[in-house]
Order: sequence, then C-alpha cells, then structure tokens
Amino acid sequence: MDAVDTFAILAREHERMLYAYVLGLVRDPAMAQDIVQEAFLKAFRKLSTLRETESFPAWIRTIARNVAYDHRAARAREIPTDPEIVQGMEDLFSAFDSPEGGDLWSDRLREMKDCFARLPEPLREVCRLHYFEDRQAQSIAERLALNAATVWKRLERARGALRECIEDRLALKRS
Amino acid sequence: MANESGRIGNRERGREMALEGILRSRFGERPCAAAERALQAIRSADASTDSPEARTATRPSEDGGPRRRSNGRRRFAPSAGRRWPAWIKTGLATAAALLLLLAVRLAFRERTPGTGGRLASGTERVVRLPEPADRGERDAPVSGSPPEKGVISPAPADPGAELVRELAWTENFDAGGSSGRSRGGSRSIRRSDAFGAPQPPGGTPTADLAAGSARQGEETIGRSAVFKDKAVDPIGKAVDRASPVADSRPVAGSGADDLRARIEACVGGLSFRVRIPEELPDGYRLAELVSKATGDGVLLRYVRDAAVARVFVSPSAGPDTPVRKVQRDSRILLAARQRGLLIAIEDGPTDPAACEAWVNRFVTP
Repeated sequence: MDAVDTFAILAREHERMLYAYVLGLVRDPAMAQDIVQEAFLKAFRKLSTLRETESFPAWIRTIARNVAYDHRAARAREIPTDPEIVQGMEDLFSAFDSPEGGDLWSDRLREMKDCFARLPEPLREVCRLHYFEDRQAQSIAERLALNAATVWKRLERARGALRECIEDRLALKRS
Repeated sequence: MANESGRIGNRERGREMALEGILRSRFGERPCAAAERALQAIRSADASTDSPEARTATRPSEDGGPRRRSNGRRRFAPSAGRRWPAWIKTGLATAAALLLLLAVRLAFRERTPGTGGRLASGTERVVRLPEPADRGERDAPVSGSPPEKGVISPAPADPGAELVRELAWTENFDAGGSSGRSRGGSRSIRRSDAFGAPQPPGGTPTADLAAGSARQGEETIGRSAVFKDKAVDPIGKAVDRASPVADSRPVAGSGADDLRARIEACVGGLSFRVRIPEELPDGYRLAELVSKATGDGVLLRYVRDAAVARVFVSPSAGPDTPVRKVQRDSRILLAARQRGLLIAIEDGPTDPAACEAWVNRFVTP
C-alpha cells in the first residue's frame, strides 16, 4: 500500500467530518467543498509531518482552517479567528473523533441527532429549512407565515438548546 | 471577570458554530466529493508540486449544488495535458477577433466623414468638411494660453470633444480672417450666405466688433466693402476698429419690420428649425445674421453698447447637454446641445448658469 492509498483511506474516513467543520466556518457549501479539497491536497503534501495517525482529524482541521483563512482574505468573508471560538469548535468535533462511536463519522453523531429530535417542532422546522435546505430567514418567514425576526429568534433558541443538550450528553465543561 | 466571561462566551459561540456546521452537513449526510477529487488530482498530477492545474482540474462540486463554474472548468478541461491547447486556441481566437474588430473599425472610420478619427493626411479632412476649421483636432492649443480651469479641451476621450468638433465651422466663419486665408482661402466666407440675397455693389458696412482680421488690421475678403482699421457700430455707424463681413447684412438699425423680414429670410434658408430672438437677456439686441451656404448653421451677433456676443446655432444630433465651457484653440465658448441644436455663445455670459437663459431662447418650444 503506497502513500496515496493510505491517504485515500484517511481522506474518505474524515471527509464528512471535515466538510461539516468547514461548513461551520464558512457556511457556503460550495466554498466549503473548495476548502476541503484544498485542505486534502495540502495535507497529502505534508503527510510526512504527521507523527501519529490518531491526530489526523485535528491536524486536517487545522489545515482546513488555515485554508479557510486564505479564502477569507481572497473573498472578504468573515471567518472567526478568535482562539476561544476555534477551541469551542474543537471541543465538539474532537468529541466525535473517537472511532468507538462508530466506523462512520455520521454514526458518531447519535447524541446530537437525539438532541435535535428533542427540540420543539417549531424550532426543528426552522432548523431544517435553514440548515438542511439552505433557505434564508426571509424565505423561511414567507413559507411559515412568520416574521423574519421570529425566524432568527427560533434559530437562536434552537442553537442554544442544542448546545446545552450536547454539552450535557458529552459532559463538556460549561460556563 | 468580564474578560473571563467574554472568553467563555466565545467558546460557547465556537461550539454553536460547530453545531451549525454539523447541521449544515445534515449530520454528515450531505454529499461531498472533495476527497475523491483531491485524490484524483493527487493521482493524475504530480503530487509533489502545488500544481494549479491539478487543483482546477478537480474543482469540487456538490451534486445539484451551485458550483457550476467549477463543473464547467472540469468538464471542458479534464486534464492539464489537454487544457493547454484549449487555452492557446482561446487566446488565438480572441486575438483574431480583436484584430478583425480593429480592421473593421479603421475601415469604417476611413469611410465615414466627421467621425473624428485619426487621418493620414490633413487634406482629406478639409475635403470632408465644408468649413476649414478643424484645427482644434490636429493642433495643440495656442501656446502661452493654457486652457482655463474647467474648460473642456479637445481631447478625443473627452465628452466635450464632440462639441468642440461640431463647432469647427465657427472658426473664422464671419470674418474670413488670416487663418482662413493662410490655409488656402476662407472657405467659410465664400460659402456663407447672408439671407440668400445678393449684396449691393461695394458691400454694406456691417457690425463686426469681434476679434479677427479687423483687429489685426488685415483685409477681409468677400463681396462686401473692405474697411481697414475702421469699425462699424452695431447700428451701422462707422467707428474705429472693425471690418465688414462678407455675405452678411446688418440687422439693427434697419427698423423692426426690416429686422423681422431679414430674420424670416434667414430662417427660411436654413435646413433646420431655430428660433431667433430679437433680444437676449441683459439687453443684448440682434445686430446681424450670417447663415452658412449649406443652410446648416447660422451666426447671430447680438450687441449691447460696445459689447458684442456671437451666437452660433447649428443642427446637432445627440443627447441634450447642459451649458459647458468649450475651448477651441484660443477661443472659449459656452455651448449646449438642446433639442437637436448646438448653440454656442462667444463673448457672452461667462457663467454657464447665466448662459442657460440665453440658450433657451433659441430652442423652439
């Protein structure tokens, strides 16, 4: 098995995770795919610097974050650079890095899916429309006969409820 | 404490961003082909170099997503080895198209008179234009008299250059002065016609208080009588410094009925509609009319005491423009295009705003 084959296994295993991570940074699905692809290319070229295979998820996320910063400079997008924010993202994603939760990354999100299912239906609905279908708040408001401000408020409440739920499930330290 | 609180808030914000990313990925179910394309690039290209071709050849695209540009490039440029000829072909095609466009444009300019294009010879320009005044396009402004601030110079790219070009016929139109003669004859004088009626033998003294040959003490050619170092006041009385103008007749002093008759005769000989006011703001009164032989231009001279303002009116196609200062050689005119007429005023008001009232008087309602 040559280096490319080894890297192919790692890349396929962590692709969905990395895509989700970059989507949290840049929100734009197409741009996120660009960043993920470029991150993999850079990672392959720097593969010799990776000391432990276990650290690959955090390593590839760091590479992707730096690529995203480059994209931000080129496209003037707002991507947070605050170390605390970066650490907050790392808190959650590192909790799903362990293969004990399942072979597939999506299988490891069991706890989170459960938290999502426990959301009140109005909050779930706006989340589905906004995050799954990429609809803007105004579009959701028109569809659900709501104010855009109400949509934003529901999204905010949903995020807060999900965060608290997942922090409890994963025993993450809370403020 | 507040900082500590803020830092904790940011960490929670980071967790929420991670949640958002996971939600946007539909819990990891959202299609993503980035890894496959990266691997394809790694395998197909030289993985040891950061080859842009490798990356662009494998731009990611979400199935059904908005990444159309990347898809297109990948489809039409499947590999670096086959993309180079495509680029070369595209470049050559673009260059050929540009050359063709340039050739057509040059050919069009050569055949179209008055387009303002660069000409191989000056004589061709003279043949095209009935009036000899296109010096503003070929000659630099008069040395020692830099353009006044805010005055439009006849630069090709300047919007005012078009007005400058259209005002070529006004150059020495009424005087037939030295510049006209030095260029092989004052064509404008020969071609111009005052009211379409023949001049009486010996000519008629006319008011010409403007600059020109008279001020320089030179003769003025034409059918009119020649007055040297002598002028005629607006009502026909001889005063110092002036010369008669060929093919023109005085208006003022001839009586109101005669004035209107002459105005009507002049207007009747024109190929365009223009309103000729007998009086302009600030007490200027019509003193003289000189129309072009071709009927597509008229000079109106208005006087007030010793002041003489010249108004040139000619048909002009193009959008209306506000009054603006236009420089043609050393002359400064206030010109505007209104309802198909180019109205230029020389030695009148110096303020474009004040000139608006003058211009409006010539525009037919």
